[in-house]
Amino acid sequence: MPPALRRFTWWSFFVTEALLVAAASAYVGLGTRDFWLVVTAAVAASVAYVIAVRRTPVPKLGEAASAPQRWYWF
Amino acid sequence: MSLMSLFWVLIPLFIGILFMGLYRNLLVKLAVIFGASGRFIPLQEVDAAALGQAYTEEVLLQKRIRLRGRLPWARHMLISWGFTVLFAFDILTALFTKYVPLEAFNHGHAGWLFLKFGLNLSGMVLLVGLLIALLRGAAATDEARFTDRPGAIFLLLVVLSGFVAQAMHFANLPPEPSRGWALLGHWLGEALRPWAPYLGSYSFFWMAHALLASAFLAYLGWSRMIHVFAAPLGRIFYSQPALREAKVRAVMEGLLKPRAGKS
Repeated sequence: MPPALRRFTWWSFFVTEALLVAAASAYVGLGTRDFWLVVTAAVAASVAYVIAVRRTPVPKLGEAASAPQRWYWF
Repeated sequence: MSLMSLFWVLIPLFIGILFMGLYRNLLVKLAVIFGASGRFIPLQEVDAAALGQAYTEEVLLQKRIRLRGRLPWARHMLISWGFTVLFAFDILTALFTKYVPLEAFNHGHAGWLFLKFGLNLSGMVLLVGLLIALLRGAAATDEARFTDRPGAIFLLLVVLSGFVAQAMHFANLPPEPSRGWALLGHWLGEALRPWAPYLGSYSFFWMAHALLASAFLAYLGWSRMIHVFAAPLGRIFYSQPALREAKVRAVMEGLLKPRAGKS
């Protein structure tokens, strides 16, 4: 994977999760029990994402080029 | 735990599922395609005019879909623009009523009516587009194969639950003529007023709407709806001469390469 795309993979995810936790804190309050539940959910999502990224097989060129065309008009 | 807190706990999980889908179904494939066709275009080689033209024609005006006919194009424009504007108004609503609360956006004030007008108008546009898609998809037409039926039904549930929740909320309040700016939400609210107040059912519909809308974001990455991200990206990338040339070069090099075992 090109380094720029790899960086985007990680940064876009973690920045989004951090923003969601910050946004949630305005509703549930900072340091409350619900706030820690939100943080736990974000951490769980992060662990799942890291595992998913590590375990996703790299497709062959044919699969990569044809599936999006069939499905997504890419 | 309140329903609102539950909603905020679920959001990071749903967004995590969206990103997993985007990685698996879009990013790794993009990486392979770029790997085969060369590299990312250096910034100085980006053809800004071609990029602007591709964005206008393919994303804003969706001219390629226009080639399939006027109705498919109108349907797709209604859904994509309805969804995009609705999403933008959702963010503006959260911003101005919660994070940067301004007096103009207090309940019943001009800003609040503007947000309600935008939310309801874009929601109605989206609703019309979805109904056309589902009706045309149900008919045995050529167009049916382009319709993502599960995705359209899912989005329809999001929109309908939102309108019902809003109508119940309005029906619980005393009548207010200025609320007419809320269009369908107001009209439905007035229709539901005789059976008001809605207490448990309002909470139920509000929560159902919030959860369905969040779950729909997760669904985007794992279904044909991923074309929301993939199609504009593809159109924009291939508008770039440098990328197109790199792709042709890679294909030609592959064709000219002698095969193993052949002289």
